[in-house]
Amino acid sequence: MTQTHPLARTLAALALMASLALLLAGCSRHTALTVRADLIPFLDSASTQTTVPYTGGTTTIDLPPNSSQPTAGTLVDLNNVGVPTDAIRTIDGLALDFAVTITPDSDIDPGTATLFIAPASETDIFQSGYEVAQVTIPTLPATLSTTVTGAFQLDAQHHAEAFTRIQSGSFRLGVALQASASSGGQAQLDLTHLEVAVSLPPGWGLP
Amino acid sequence: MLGMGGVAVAGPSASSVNPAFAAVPGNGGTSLTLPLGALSAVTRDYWDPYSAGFDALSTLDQGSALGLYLLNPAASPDRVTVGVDANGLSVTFEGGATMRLADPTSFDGGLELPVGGAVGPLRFGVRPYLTLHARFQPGTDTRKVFETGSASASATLEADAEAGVALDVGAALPLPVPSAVLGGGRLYAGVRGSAIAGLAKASADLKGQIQAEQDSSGNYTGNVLYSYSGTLSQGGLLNGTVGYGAQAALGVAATVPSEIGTVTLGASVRHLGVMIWTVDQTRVQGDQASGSSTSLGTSQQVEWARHVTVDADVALAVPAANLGVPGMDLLLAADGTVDLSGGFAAHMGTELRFGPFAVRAGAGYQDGLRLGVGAGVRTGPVGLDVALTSHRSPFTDHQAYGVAASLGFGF
Repeated sequence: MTQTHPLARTLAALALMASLALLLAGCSRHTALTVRADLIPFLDSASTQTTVPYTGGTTTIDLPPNSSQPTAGTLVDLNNVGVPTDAIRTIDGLALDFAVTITPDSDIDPGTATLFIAPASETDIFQSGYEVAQVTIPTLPATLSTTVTGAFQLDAQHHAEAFTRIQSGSFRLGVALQASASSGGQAQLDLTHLEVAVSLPPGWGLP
Repeated sequence: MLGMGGVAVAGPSASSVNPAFAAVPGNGGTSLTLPLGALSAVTRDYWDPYSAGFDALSTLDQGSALGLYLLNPAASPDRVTVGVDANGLSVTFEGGATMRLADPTSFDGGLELPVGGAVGPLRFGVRPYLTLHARFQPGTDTRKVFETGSASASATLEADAEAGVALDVGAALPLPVPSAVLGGGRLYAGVRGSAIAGLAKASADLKGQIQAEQDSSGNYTGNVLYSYSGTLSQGGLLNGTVGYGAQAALGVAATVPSEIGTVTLGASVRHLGVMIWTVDQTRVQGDQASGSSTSLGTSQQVEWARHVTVDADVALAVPAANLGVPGMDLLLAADGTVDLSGGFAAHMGTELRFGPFAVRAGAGYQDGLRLGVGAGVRTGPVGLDVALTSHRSPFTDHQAYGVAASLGFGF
């Protein structure tokens, strides 16, 4: 095979990056990359609109509710969202924004929303070992629709174990809402917003 | 002339644009633009892929304008965000130069260092040169990627760089014209032939595509795919060979006296010719999962006149007597160039000369807006011109400013 001269390779690399124009823009030591995915359009309605039972006292509502079944919404495959395989290992940030409208049968006191990140092969993602971050949620009045929003910001330095899973390229996400209910019943859930953003640091992809 | 927005001013110093200008009285001598841009290789670190300051966009900006030392080359964005949502793909940029990727764009750059002289109507010269050409053509749906989002986007890029040495032989003569035809003016014709030794050549012809995958029902799957394919070529000393070829340029010019001053008109055709290279070609292709390159072997490549240009020039020289300012001469000039392979340029500029000193200003369009101001001084047979110029950086709306200098000899 003919060897390519370094100068030609340099030009070719520049030209190639220009044809993939956003990569040209991103080709510097000071350029970071964010891949942001709005997952709602890619989820089927069974994953975004459902009714789940809960018990009186301390109760937990899992999102997505059918946590034992891997779904497109929880299996985030970074290889398939165009992040180069080598670059995945440099991911240093993850943000998750969600909004869910909840209509419970009974009053639910303020509680927490906990983010779980599990390996792609895991069927039960709501295990304590996969818990990575928590935010508070407001009171959920009985029979009224309340929109609960949450924003999780993770970085590789403070969430090393979770990032090991993220940097593998495929992982599952889940959010568990935990609060105290005045009595048992059912809750209507409508997941209206679920956005995942992963960040690659400046200089990603460069030698 | 430096500082005049890139306009070519009729006279022997512009004979590289129109060989007939060699016989037109006016700016004489040889002008040598100094490759100040090369200084950036030692003063700035954006060239080095392993340095903390590496920036491909800055490298491209400065590398395509080696006659300028850029003070503020275009910088890559601080953050590129690729979005995937119900509209498909979207790309936004933060910080750095404002990227301009939704429209077709091109850039042409390079440097020539001509050295030569004249014997009667003949001109001889040696002209080392470096040329860069690139054309970026986004697909029809690519604009949406940078606005509302799109299911797919594609783009093609043709780029080539060539370096060599040309041996020029030219002749320019006044033609006999009845004085009534041009009002007492004169008509000139010129021709230049060049034998070229091609020292280095590298080119790329590439296509890239990015797509939000859809299932059979047209629903997005959440997967984003990209792929690229194309051909890379290298020749000359890059693969141990030397290219060769010949070029010709033809031109006519006329000077017409008027009440205000002398009007000079010119038209020329350049870069007619052929280059023959022995090139190694490599096929490259890949996608988000893997990439590969395959040698296509070595072959002889014959390139017929890839960048033939047609130029038209007009200038008005107003002598001090008509200007009403003792010792001060005024020059106004404009030109236009059409590259028959695509692209055009137009420039206009002015020069005020008083004794050995001159000040200049100009503007033009050449792959974007160009501006310039400059000054020059002549002492005996030697002149020095300096200018502050600006141009639009490739692939961006960034206006880069640079310093240029040239030496003139034998006025």
